[in-house]
Parts: sequence; structure tokens; C-alpha cells
Amino acid sequence: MAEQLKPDQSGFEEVVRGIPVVDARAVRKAYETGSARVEALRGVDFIVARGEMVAVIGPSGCGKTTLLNCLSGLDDIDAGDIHIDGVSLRQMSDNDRTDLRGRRIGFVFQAFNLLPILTAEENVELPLLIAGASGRRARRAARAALERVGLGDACRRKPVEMSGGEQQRVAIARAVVHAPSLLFADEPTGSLDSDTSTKIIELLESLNADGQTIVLVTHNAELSRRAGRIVRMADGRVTS
Amino acid sequence: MIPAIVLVVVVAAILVAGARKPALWRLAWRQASGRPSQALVLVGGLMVGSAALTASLVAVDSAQRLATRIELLRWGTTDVTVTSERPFPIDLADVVSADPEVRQNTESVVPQLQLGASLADISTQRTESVGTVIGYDAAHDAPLGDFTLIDGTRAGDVGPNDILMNERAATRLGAHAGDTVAIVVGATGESQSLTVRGVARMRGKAAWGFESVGFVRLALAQKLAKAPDAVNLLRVIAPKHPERAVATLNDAMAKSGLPLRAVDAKRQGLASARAQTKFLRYALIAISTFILLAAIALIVNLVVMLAEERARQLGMLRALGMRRSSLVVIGAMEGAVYSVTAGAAGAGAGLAIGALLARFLQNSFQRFFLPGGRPLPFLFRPSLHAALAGFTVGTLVALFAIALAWRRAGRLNVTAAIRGLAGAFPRRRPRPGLTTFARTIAVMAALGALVVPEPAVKEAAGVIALAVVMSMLKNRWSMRVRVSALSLGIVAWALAAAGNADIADPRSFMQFFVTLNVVEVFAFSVLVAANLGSLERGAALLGKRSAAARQTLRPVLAYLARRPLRTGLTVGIFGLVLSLVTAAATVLATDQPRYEDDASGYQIVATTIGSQQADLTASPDVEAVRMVRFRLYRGGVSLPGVRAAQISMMVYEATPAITSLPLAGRDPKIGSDREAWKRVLDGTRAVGSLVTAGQPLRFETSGTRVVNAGFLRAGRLLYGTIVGPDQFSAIPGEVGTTYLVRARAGASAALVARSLEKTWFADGLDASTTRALVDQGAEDLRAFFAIVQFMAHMALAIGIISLGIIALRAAFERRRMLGTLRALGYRRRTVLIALMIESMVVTTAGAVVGAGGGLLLNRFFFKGGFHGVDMGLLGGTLLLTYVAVLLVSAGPAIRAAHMSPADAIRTVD
Repeated sequence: MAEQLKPDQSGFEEVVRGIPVVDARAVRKAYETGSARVEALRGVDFIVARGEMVAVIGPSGCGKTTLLNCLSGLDDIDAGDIHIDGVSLRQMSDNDRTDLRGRRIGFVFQAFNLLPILTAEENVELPLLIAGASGRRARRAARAALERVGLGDACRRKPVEMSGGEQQRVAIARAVVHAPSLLFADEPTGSLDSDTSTKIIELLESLNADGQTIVLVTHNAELSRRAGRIVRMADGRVTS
Repeated sequence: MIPAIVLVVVVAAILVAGARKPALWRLAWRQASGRPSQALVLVGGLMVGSAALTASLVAVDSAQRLATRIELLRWGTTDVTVTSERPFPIDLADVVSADPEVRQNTESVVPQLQLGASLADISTQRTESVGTVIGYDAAHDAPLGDFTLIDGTRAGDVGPNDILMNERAATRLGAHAGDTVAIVVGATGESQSLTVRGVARMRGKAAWGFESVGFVRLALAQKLAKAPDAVNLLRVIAPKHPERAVATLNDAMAKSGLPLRAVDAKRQGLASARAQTKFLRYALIAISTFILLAAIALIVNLVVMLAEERARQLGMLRALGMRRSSLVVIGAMEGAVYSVTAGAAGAGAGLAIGALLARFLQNSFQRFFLPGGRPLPFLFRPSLHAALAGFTVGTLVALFAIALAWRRAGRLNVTAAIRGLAGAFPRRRPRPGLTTFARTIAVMAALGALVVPEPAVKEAAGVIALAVVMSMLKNRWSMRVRVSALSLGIVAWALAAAGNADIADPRSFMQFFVTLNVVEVFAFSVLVAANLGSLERGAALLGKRSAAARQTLRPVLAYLARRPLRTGLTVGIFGLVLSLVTAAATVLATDQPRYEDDASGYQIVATTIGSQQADLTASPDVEAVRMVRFRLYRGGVSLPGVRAAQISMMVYEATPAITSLPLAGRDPKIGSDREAWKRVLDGTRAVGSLVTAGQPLRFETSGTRVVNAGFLRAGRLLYGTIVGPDQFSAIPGEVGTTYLVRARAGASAALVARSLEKTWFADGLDASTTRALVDQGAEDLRAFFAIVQFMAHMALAIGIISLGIIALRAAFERRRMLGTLRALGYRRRTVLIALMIESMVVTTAGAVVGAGGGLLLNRFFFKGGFHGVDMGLLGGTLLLTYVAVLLVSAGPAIRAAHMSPADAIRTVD
């Protein structure tokens, strides 16, 4: 029943409240690199309940980032299925998956990936504008999101004028500005020094405390320790 | 009009999209305005296409206006003419003009007597052997107005022993008022010495066909022609309804028993002038097409480069929920900013360049029509239509090229793009069903197009057919082998098509020539792009001997080899530009003086009018003489695209004396020069310079039709048309003789020519050295070729700008890699040399593709008319190219070499 629901249908929030935010079953994903075939995910089962903060850890090349990319619909999967808020990604068209990302998913990357041509405020309001929000509403929400990450006074600055920690906070503000069901963070502290990393970890914790579901991939022991649940991966499989 | 509507619709659609999705517009605008210097260079590169097109259109409009003005100057108030080889009584002219119908439709009918004559100035000792004497009667001539003399005074009548020279005749003879001039009438051999009354400006009745004309009293002309009370020319003023005047004149002449026909001379002249500027129009548009195509390749290359550079940002936008189509819309919006700005700037620059081209053309027309005469007016016509056309077409081409190239961004692999991995822009996966369908359609279209007579369509059809065949071998041959085979197949097809080309229509000719060049450059560029790996392997082999060479060459060659699209496009840009330069150099070489070929062993050409012939062998310095009879034909001539143009031209009689002269540009249907001459002698063919080989020419006065077999290699010696004896007898006109003279070894040709003129001065013989004639011919064309050279160098600007941008971007996008190489021990000098070599490799590949391929193609296309290339233009352009490429790539290379390795490695986009 939930699989037939579309994110923009009325009453959607009420229906999905009792459903896991992420429900991935037997997910397989392989890459072709030249003549070699790399099995990045070998039948992964992965469930995230609403409000959870889950840290995915494991050695490099174990498939953490691939899992994140597949869960968020950035990458197609070869087998299995993934449901986000009860909706199957496999049955969605590319445009539907794109719209789902725009409305229900937020991203934070290790390299921040802010658009250098836009100011902090413009970067943050971008997801809302893409989703069709009015300029005024987007601006208001962006300012609120920046206030929340402690950068209320940095609205007009461009990424190049900011420190790494500030850029990552802008990236987090951008990821949550549209109140997504789910926030994915891929090594959010990977490019930061320890003090800045701590601030980012605290910020993610506070978001989670406010009810934000977070799935993060990290090598940072402190960050994984603070997550509510740790999922270990090795060789494309969830080991614990 | 249609392109303008399309542009308005497209820009309106983009504006609407921008209004509906301000986020897309904001991103597009920030990308465009974020780097002003990059945007400036981009706009500079894009505007060249618009500028070239606008300049061409403005120049052609100006040329057409000038040609029209010249034609109006030539005819003055005369609208309709009636000419006759045999004089007729002047009374009959009066009878015709008194006809009520004629009177109703004409303002005036003026009788004159026109005679072919030689003119010799006793004072300056200079002669004009093929001149014209017109006898006129001041009373009858009044409606045509007075002559305007060069001293500003006006003249109506002349004295009984006076002659009034027009500017052209006066220039040829060096004549001034008061000089004594001897005239010899060709038809009768009668001569008379006269005093030059003055020199009349070349306009109105004095301009008469822009020939060398002396005006004398009608009675004197009648006496010299031995035709008392007779005339042979009626000049009719009928500005309102010339066609009715022609009809009523013909009726009246038929009633009077006169076997004459009236000709709507001025209107036909104007139509002919328009038709003759067509070739110029198509030539300039063809050059502009090369430039536009080079601009398209530049645009695609830039967009591909920008998309790759922005892959991470684009991936992020997709991750944030932006659809694939929106990425393309952003690209189109950014493209609109660049292309509209470039279109407007290009159209403005095009108007200025058009003024320059119009000045070149004015010089060319001046030299051809009024050598030494008063300067023609500068008729620059900066029409709004031309500027709009240049802006619209340039903008649309740029915009569509950008939008199409951005479609690639729609295929972005989000995760690879965000992580900066290779494969961010995966190749489109073909859908089997669609591929079969596409192949079927392509094969059907190609087969259908192969039977279309238009050669450019046939060429394209062959290319499509070859591509389909190669796509069917997908599972048998590797990509590289298939692409290489396809490229070579396309080149072979283009060369075969060039070898069989036989096109008269200037439009089709230009279209086909451009198509062949583009197809060949495309094929060779693809061949180079597909085989770049061989260069890399070559560097590896070289590296076995020199570690330094391997260290320097391997990274840059690997970089080029792994970006076949971008490298191929850059090679293609240079290829296109240099194929245009090679085409210009080929045409320039065709008209370069080649004294030996162009003179066929003769040093002097002499001419007399009249049936009597001079025995030039009597001169001790003359070794041999070939005599060729000619007729000075005055009347209508029809050729493809031009109907009944009123001209005067020399028609030579083919005799065994000249049928051993070698031909150039022979009709491919005729196997040898010998066979061509045989056909000329039997009356089915002609040899001449007025039409291309294989095309017909019709002399309207006699109804004689001949088909051209080819050109005389020594075309400047016998300039006109050579026909068989039967045709020669049928075509009317005064008879004269041309003497091809071989001087004795050691004798100065110039002195011998002067001596011959002096000896036969009384016969009005004029002699020139063949060297002077050949030089004069080349000089006549110089102004036109100045335009071609100018446009070719304009195209070169695109190539250089493109390589400059690419060098800059290439150094920028590789800063991490270069930083790593520096960290690994590469010296600054090695990085600098490597980047410079990279530019040189691409430039050299473009030069080989453009110049080498162009030479090969031109050799096939121009066949017997191919005389190599003008090395001054081609060599100079290549040198200029290398110097410019070194200069534009030096900056980025130096910058890259001096980057701090640590900073470069740390760099984040």
C-alpha cells in the first residue's frame, strides 16, 4: 500500500509516520571499471527508523559511500529494493527520484560542494527554489537555517571567503533548509580539523535531537560514538 | 525573416523559463558574469561568426549598389538600344521615331554611327588598337545632354576636324586637349587625323560601355565608314516603360522593313550587374560559413570544457533535486547571455569590417571598369537588414550549438561528478530498437539522397551511408578501427566527389565546395582524435631513448588522448580555418602570374583593327608570329545565370595557328587538348574565359550558341572566346588581328613592342609585353583577393582565440595534476615545455588536417586549374598561427609552471 504513495500526496505525513524512513532489502550494486567488475554492495539490508542517527563505518572501499548513494537515489541499484518513506525507489522514474531528493532528502558531503558563484544564503535557499518555493519564502527559510547553524551574519559571504568549518555549516544548513525526512552525510568531518569537527558533530547532534533522521558515513570515531546506532560494513556487506 | 522569428521565440522562451524558475536564471547569470575576463574572451570568440556574416552581407550589398551605379553611369539616359552591323539610312531612323506608337512610349530616339577603330595619339605616340569612334549629330543628340569635360566645362558639338575623347580612351593614349589623334576605321581602312577637343567624363553618353571611345561629327564618321547619310545605332530614351518602347520600336522597324531588334539595354545591364555580383555574394557567404562552422566547433569545445569543469557543481545541483532538463536549461540561459551579447557585438563589428570590405571592392571595381578614371563613389551600405541577419544567424547558431552541447550535461552521472571521478559524462547508451529504426531511416534517406542532383546533398548522403555501414560493424571491429575506417572512407568519398564535380551555378558551386571541405576536415579530425593513443605510444617509444622526452611528452599526450572529443574539436577548428586559408591560397595561386605558362612562349601581343594584316616578321627582332583574326562583338550575350547582357568582347577564330596552344581547366568530358581543339574547329565547342568549362554561351545578335571546352592556359593573351571558323563567320563585329610575337633571343620584349608600335603606328597597332598583360591581370584581381585574405585571417582569429581559451582552461583544470607532477619532481621548465608542446601538437594536427587535407581536396576539385598554392599566404598564415599559438599558450603555461605544488594539490573548486 505504501509503495503506491507519492511524496506529494495529501495525508502523506500521517501515513508514513509509522513506516521506517529507510528500508533497504538485499541491495546489490556493481561497478564496471574497465574490464574489471567490482561488487560494491552484496545484498545489503538496512533499515533506519524515523529520528534515528545512524553511523555507517568500515574500512575504505567497503561500500559505505555506495550505500549512501544508492539509498539517496543518486545511483541505481542492480538488485533488491529501497523504500524511502515507504516509496520504492526502483519503481520511480529519474525525474521522480530527483523530485524525491529535492523534497525529502538532504546531503552533506566531505568536500562541502557549495556553489562558489553563490553567496551562503543563496546556496542555502537553492533546494527550496529548485522545488518551486517562492523567492521570499526561500530567503526566509535560508536565513533561519543559517541562524540555526550559527552563521546568521554570514549570509552575503561567498564560500571562498569562509573557513572550512563555516562552509560545512552552510552545507548543513542547505541540507536541512527544506526540512527533509532524511539527512545523508558522507564524511562530514573528513576535511576539517578536530575543533571544527567537534562543532559540526554537535550541530548534527542537535539536529538529531530536534527529530532529524540522519544517516552518516564516517571514519571519525567521536562522531560514530555519538550516533545512536552504528552499522559496520566490510566487503560490500553489513557485518553488524 | 524566419531566423529572426525563431530567435525571438527562443529568447522569449528562455526569458519565460527564467521568470518561472528564477533559481535557474540566477545560476546561469552568475556563471556568465562570475568570470568577466573569461566571458569577454568567450564573447570575443563567438562574435567572429556574426561579424563575418554581417561584413559579408554589407560588402555584397555595397558591391551590388556600386555595380548598379556603374551600370547607370554606363548607360546614362539611354534606356533602349538598336544596333546593326550594317548601317541603315538615317531617314529610316527618323521614320521609326516618328511612328505615333513609338513617340507615345519614348522620349527620344537618337541616331549615331558606331565604328570599330584604332586610335593613335601622335603627340604621345600611344595607340588603342581596339577602340570605338562614334559619329553623332548635335541636333539629334540634344536629348542625351551635353558631355561633361574633366575640366568642369560642358561640350555639345565638336568641330569637323575635332574628336572628343572619353576618359578611358584619353588614359590609354595619354591624350590631352590639343593633341593630334589619328583614327583608322577597321571596316574600311579609312583614316583621319583629328585634334582632341577635350576629355569627357565617363558618364552618360560618354561612358558608352566603358570602352575607349572618341566622339566625332556624324558626317565625318559617315565619310570614314563610306556610309553617307547612314547610322547603325539608335539610343532611345524611354525611362517610364522601356519594355513598351522595345515592343513599339520593333513593330515600327518591322513596318519600315528594317531587320533590326530593339534591346532593353539598361534593364538587362542592371540585371546582369546583379547576376554578376552573385558569385561574390556566394563566395563571401561561403567564407562566412567556414567561419561560422569554426565558431560552432569552438562553442561546442568550450561548452564541453565548461561542463567538465563544472561537473561537481552540476552533480551537486542534481543531488539537490534539479532535474536533468533543468541543467540543460541553465546551459541554454547562460548560452543566451553569451550569444546575444556576441551577436550584437559581432553585428556592430561586422558593419565596420563591411565598410573595409566595401572599400576593397570599390578599388577592385575602379581598376576593372574605370582604370585611371575619376574615383567611383564609395557606396558603403550599412543596411539594417545585413546587421539583423548577421546578429540573428550568429546568435542562433551560437545558442543552438551551446544548447546542443549542454545536452551532454543532461547525461551526468551524479555520484561520479560529485566525487570528481572520470566518467561524469557517460556515453549515451544506444537503445537497440531505436538504433535499428535510426539505421533504417538513415539508409533510406541516404539512398534517396544519392539520386538528388544537388552534389552537396549527394556528398552528405554518402557520408551517412558510410556511417551506417560502420555502425553495423560494431561487434566485429574495435571503435578505433571503425572510426578510422569511416574517416578514411569519408575522405575518399569527398575526393571522388571533388574529382567529378562539374558545377556552373555559383551557389551550388560554393555550397559544394564548403560541404567538401567541412566533410574532409571533419573526417580527418575524427581520424586524428581516434588515433591520439598512437601519439602517446610514440612518446613511450621515444622515452626508451630519452627519459627527459618521455617525462615531458607522456603526460600531455596522455591528456590529449583521453579527451578525444575536445582534442578533435580543437583540431577541427584549426583544420577548418586552415582549409579556408588553403582554398584562398589555391585560388590566389590560380591567378598568380606564371609568365611561362601564361605566355605560352610569346613575349609580345599586338593588335590591329581592320582586315589588313601587318607583316611583323619584317622586324629584325621578331623570330616568329602567330596571327589570329578576331571580331569585336558588341551585343547581347547569355550565359548561365545572365540573360542577354550587353557587352563587347573579342571573338577569335580558331585556326591551326593557335590550336596547339595548351588548355587549362578543360571540360572533364573531353579527354585531351587535341580533342577539345578538334571540337572547336568543327564548331561544337569553344575555348574561352567568359564561362566555366562545359557551360554554354550564346551570342544573341547572331543566335550562335557554343559550349565552352576549357580555358586557354595563356588566357590573358587571347582574352575572350575562340570559336570555329563557321561560328566566327556568323558572329557580327569589326574584324581585327591579334599577333602573338616571339622575340629573338636576347632582344628586350619591351623595346621590341615599342618598336613594333612605332613601325605600324599608322595602322593603329598597339603592342604590349605578355609580362605586362599578365601583371595587369593579376593586379585587377588583387583587390578581390585582399578581401579573401582578410576574411581568412578573420577566421584564423577564431582558431587562435579558441586555442588560447583552451590552453587557459586546460592549465586551470589540471592544476592538481600539475601540482602532483611538480611534487613528484617535475621542474617548472618541464611543465612549461610540456604545456607548450601540447598546444603545438594540436596546432600541428590542425595544420596537417586543414592545409594538407585542403591541398589534397583542391587538387582534385580544381583539376587542371590547380596551380599549387600561394605560399606567401599559406606559409605566412601558418607562421602567424604558430607564433600566435605560442603567445596565447605561453601565459597559461607560465602560470601553471609557477604554481605552488602545495597550493595546486590542495585546490578545491
